[in-house]
Amino acid sequence: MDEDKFALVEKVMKDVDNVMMKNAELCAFDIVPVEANFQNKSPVLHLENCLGLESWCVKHVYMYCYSELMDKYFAKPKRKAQKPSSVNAERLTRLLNITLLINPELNSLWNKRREMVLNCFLQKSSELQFSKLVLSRKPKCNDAFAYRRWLLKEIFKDSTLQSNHINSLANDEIYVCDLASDKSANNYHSWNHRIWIINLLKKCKNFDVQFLFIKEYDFSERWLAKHVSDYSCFHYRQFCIENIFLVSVERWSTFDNHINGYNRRSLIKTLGNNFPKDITVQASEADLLTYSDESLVNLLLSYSNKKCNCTVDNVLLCRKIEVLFHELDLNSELLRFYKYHEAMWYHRRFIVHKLISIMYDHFGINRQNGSLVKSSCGKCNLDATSERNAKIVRYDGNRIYSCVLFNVLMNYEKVFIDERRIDGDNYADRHEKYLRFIEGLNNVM
Amino acid sequence: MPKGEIIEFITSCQDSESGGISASIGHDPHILYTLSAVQVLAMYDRLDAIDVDGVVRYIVSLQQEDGSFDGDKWGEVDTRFSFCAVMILSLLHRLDAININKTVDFVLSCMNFDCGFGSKPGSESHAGLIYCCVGTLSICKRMDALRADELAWWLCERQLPSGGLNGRPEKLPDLCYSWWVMSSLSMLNRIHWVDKKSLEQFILACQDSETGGFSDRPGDIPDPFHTVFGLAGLSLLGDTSIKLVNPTYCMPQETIDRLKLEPQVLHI
Repeated sequence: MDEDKFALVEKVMKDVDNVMMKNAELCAFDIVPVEANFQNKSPVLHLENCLGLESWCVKHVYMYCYSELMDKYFAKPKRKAQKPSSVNAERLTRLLNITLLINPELNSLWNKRREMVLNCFLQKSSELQFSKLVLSRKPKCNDAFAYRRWLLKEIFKDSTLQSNHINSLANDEIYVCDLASDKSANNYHSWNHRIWIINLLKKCKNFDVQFLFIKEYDFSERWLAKHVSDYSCFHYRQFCIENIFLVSVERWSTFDNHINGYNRRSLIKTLGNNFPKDITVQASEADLLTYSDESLVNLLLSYSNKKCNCTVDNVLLCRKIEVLFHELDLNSELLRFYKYHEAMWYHRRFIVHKLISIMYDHFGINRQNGSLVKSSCGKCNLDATSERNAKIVRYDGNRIYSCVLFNVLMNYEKVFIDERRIDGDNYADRHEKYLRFIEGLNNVM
Repeated sequence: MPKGEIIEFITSCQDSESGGISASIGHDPHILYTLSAVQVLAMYDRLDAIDVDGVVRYIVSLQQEDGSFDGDKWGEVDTRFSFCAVMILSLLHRLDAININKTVDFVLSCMNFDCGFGSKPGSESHAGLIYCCVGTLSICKRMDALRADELAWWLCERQLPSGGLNGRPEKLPDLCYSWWVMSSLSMLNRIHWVDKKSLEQFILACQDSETGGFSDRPGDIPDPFHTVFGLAGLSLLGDTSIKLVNPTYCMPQETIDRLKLEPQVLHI
């Protein structure tokens, strides 16, 4: 490489470094296609909070920086490689910055940054900023997400973290996921990262994770309505639904009143529309609204045949049923509007599966190798040891299949499948087959 | 290709301290490249070219309390790494060095309601990661722990009207899933559940007539990654012009036989 090119690369490195130092709000980086250097000015662009590099210089810059990194800092044998020190930290950081901005899929370079963080040559907070910049251009870069996870694990090692600090870390992380999920559909890594951060926060003492559960539940509903092909988002929604079941009664009721969405009234309406014809349900919709949670559970699931003395948490059970039927209604609405989307039909499988699991659980049974067997109570673990693996008598099967909730669900599905089939949605047939052969409902459909 | 040079290169990528192997000279060791190195050397019958005890030490050091594996010393967990670990150790006949029960338990903790697997507990099902998890169970001979029919059902739904397969719902078909989906189905003994003919046509359409390489989809630029999965996929479909490929290891069956390995295939 001739002198001109050396000078050019050094200039680019300096300019990029300047922009990064000056602008703490830098939020986006990209390579801007410009074929040649016509105007003889710096290929480093800085506009508002965005950093750009003109494409014509990328090859030179990358080769130069990568070579210097490998020759000096990654030499083999290791004793010949320079270790990060106060003498070389600045140079090393500049080289790593530009190389990773251009090609972020270099695990060893991220590791070098980790080493530098541990030796205090790099700040954890500015590293979060840098990896965010990388993700603005490569929203699917798992190395960058993995680096953030490592940084956050380091940060959270400090048990004296104040709650406002944790809040801001949580918000930033969720925001980074928002951006990455928005830029790249079905972004496995960004949704996975979102699940990861929430699971981390679950273990955190100075943080109100229940509030976050509600916020994310609300967020995912809005997001999926706008991204009906993005199953990664539906998968995340399923995670949110499971988390909602963990929210305390008080917390849930404030949320339930606060959203004008789904509540007992809507559930009762859906139930009313799908009550089995052969069972005379005495209560009118107006009556049902006055039912206590316990009475509603008794109506929908009759009595369980568990042998232990564990009490059923009727409040939670009602909430689960409400949330899942809301999900079913929402899913139906979206499928009617957008039509023919596998992602939404797959999500429907989850909803139905979950409702059926609740019923199995309530009746103390399990499905194994296609047949129903008695299971132990999830709460007290009491099981009929002698009968553990015996097939349950048909009576039990009938019991679950004749309960009101089961029949409401089956009717709901049948009507919906027929309606979608008439509309030419091939996934309706698939859904029916799924219910018959995978959920094992062939003999009751 | 010059066999000697390839082996020499691999030898020089081993880190004497940790025992792990890196992607290239000067880079950091990682379980992913350690697997590639061991696979290549196993095929050449030249495992003596690396410090095998070092590799075993490296893999053992990466297993976590819950049975999962980190990819390297910086601690990122992924079911891919569980598969790498058992594949490496089985090729070295050293599976006993790790806790197999815990390894299996961790993988099973990643099973979703649709009976597929993701990269971590609670992660979305993904055909590539399903291959890793099924492969782990195949090597650990615990295929019985899978819900074979449900999983195979999901895998078969990956086939699209073009005959090609995708890795997740509503994604485009990609040649590499011809391997990941089909190898999983082979281990599950349910390969006949997909339409082989149209898949074969899709794979062949991905071959570039000029260079001979395969790309992700017809008309795209070919690369070695998609070429290996295209060829291996054709072998699973019964193309006899390619040597028999083992569905668990993605390596020639003759190598697996020579090493006397018997990865499990489901028989029901």
